[in-house]
Amino acid sequence: MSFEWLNPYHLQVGSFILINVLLGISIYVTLATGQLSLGNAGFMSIGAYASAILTTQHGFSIPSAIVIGSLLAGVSGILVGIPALRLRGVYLAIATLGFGEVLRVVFINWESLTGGAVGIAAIPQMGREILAAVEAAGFSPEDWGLRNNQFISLSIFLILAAVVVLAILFFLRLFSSRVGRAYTAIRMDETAAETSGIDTTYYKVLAFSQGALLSGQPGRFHVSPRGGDPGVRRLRRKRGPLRPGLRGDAPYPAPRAAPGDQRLPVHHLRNPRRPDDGLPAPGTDRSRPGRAADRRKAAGRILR
Amino acid sequence: MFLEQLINGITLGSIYAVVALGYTLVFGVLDIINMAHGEIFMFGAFVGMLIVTKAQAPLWAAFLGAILATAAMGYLLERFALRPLRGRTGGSPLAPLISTIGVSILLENVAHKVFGAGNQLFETPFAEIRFEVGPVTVYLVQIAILAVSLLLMAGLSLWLHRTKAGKALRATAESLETAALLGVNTTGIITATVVIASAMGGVAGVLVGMAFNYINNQMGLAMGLKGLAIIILGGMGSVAGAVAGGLILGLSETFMVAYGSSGYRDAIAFAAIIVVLLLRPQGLFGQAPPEMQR
Repeated sequence: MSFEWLNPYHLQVGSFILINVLLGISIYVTLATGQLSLGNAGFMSIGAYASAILTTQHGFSIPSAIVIGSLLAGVSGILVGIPALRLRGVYLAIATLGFGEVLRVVFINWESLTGGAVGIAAIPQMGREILAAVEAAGFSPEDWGLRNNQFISLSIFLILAAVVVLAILFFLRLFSSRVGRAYTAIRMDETAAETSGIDTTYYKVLAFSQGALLSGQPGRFHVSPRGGDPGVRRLRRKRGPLRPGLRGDAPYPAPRAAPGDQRLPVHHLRNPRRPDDGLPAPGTDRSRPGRAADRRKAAGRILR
Repeated sequence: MFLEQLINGITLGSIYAVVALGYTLVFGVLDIINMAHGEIFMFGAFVGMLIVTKAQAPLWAAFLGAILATAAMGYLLERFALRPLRGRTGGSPLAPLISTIGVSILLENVAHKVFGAGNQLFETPFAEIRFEVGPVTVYLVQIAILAVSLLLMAGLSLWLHRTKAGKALRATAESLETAALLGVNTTGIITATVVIASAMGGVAGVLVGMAFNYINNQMGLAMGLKGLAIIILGGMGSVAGAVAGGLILGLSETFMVAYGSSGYRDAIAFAAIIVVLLLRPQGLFGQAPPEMQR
């Protein structure tokens, strides 16, 4: 059986779609209680930086780094969610936007930890690790009719697809559970919900941290398929995750993926013929993030 | 040194104030935040740049062109991104906010396509003219920026408080329904508000081009976010608050760069947002609106 038609580039685009789906759900969860958070890019960057630093500097394995990064994002979601209880609607949206921006500036300036605007290079890639593990177990992708680069892209795509399916199932179940009904009640009328005995503080903070935890996860995946630095494109991301998530008051999380998340694929579209690998080797693909960083630095200089 | 930094800060602050005035006008009348304002501002800067450097026209033509272009964009924004959402029952109150975010992404990418991603030089004919006033060096550009922004602020204030249209605008801001019942053409007022706010953004764009000599397609985002910070700081919908907030932010950023760490300059605005929202959500000049505690 041959999988010649399986194009690693298309799989990579598909992976980005799935990442955007996760981000969309993460916005939706917080929005389910009527709170619009524009700071999810900040949570995403916490997850991304945490897992990248853990794997490159502290020798953690990728799965454990992902889990720890997501948990860290979730905890920071609690920390942001508690003061955010004082704010509603547009004011909350702007405060969370401010949170994300402060976080960006801190990450850019904290060079000893994050590498500043250049970012972190040579982050281990999940696809390659899986390939290595498979080969160590005595198999080869060729046995299944796959080239190595196809296998790498496919494995990431499948893992992401599994995560997305699990997340959707989890939140579908959640929304028809006691917690989900509490969310809906709070969204519809907070005062009434409180009067009927719902602990609004608890559920609002819970929704916040769930959203944060979920957006911390793609942060890591987002790093993985590219092996670039997690920091540089967060500014763009700020508004990226918004689009999938906001669907007014739809009763279910039916997030629309935003395949046109222009920032990421553009790089590939401009350069459709990738090196035969399909994935940039760690550390070699620093030209683009570097350029983006230059551009951003220049942008900063302008308004200085 | 201190005095020069003071002048730098006031120049920057007056530009910020003009940007923030655009936000505050729209918020005052429509109760929405126009996230596309920063991008309209950026288009104003580009139109001004094209007129000054490519067409070799004088500076006043750049202002005029930027005002015309951004006013037209403001009209289109209101007509196609805001009006269809207004008065629709059952819609999310956040829908206009999201819609303007969409417009801002669109505009930024259009600018990327049309003008390119790199920095463009914005040359003003008198960029190098300067005066020595005692120990202080003052550039003519700074004086021009200050004059244009003061003129705009004074004009806006006069228009709001001394003309019939300004009265109608304030009435609409007070209550859309009541103003409509009293015979105010609220649709026209809303359109005029968005158009004027956008035109002010366009003027601010040219001012930024004059002040920094470089523009690019991402400047709208940074400036837009700072404009937001300013109206939060000064009080949403308050004209005096926007001016004061702009000056405070401009001065504190300048002094942060001069005497502190330049890297954290951009954090001031957003740290201010968070602190103000948590401690005094109505801002320095605003009254606490009822919906704040809805």
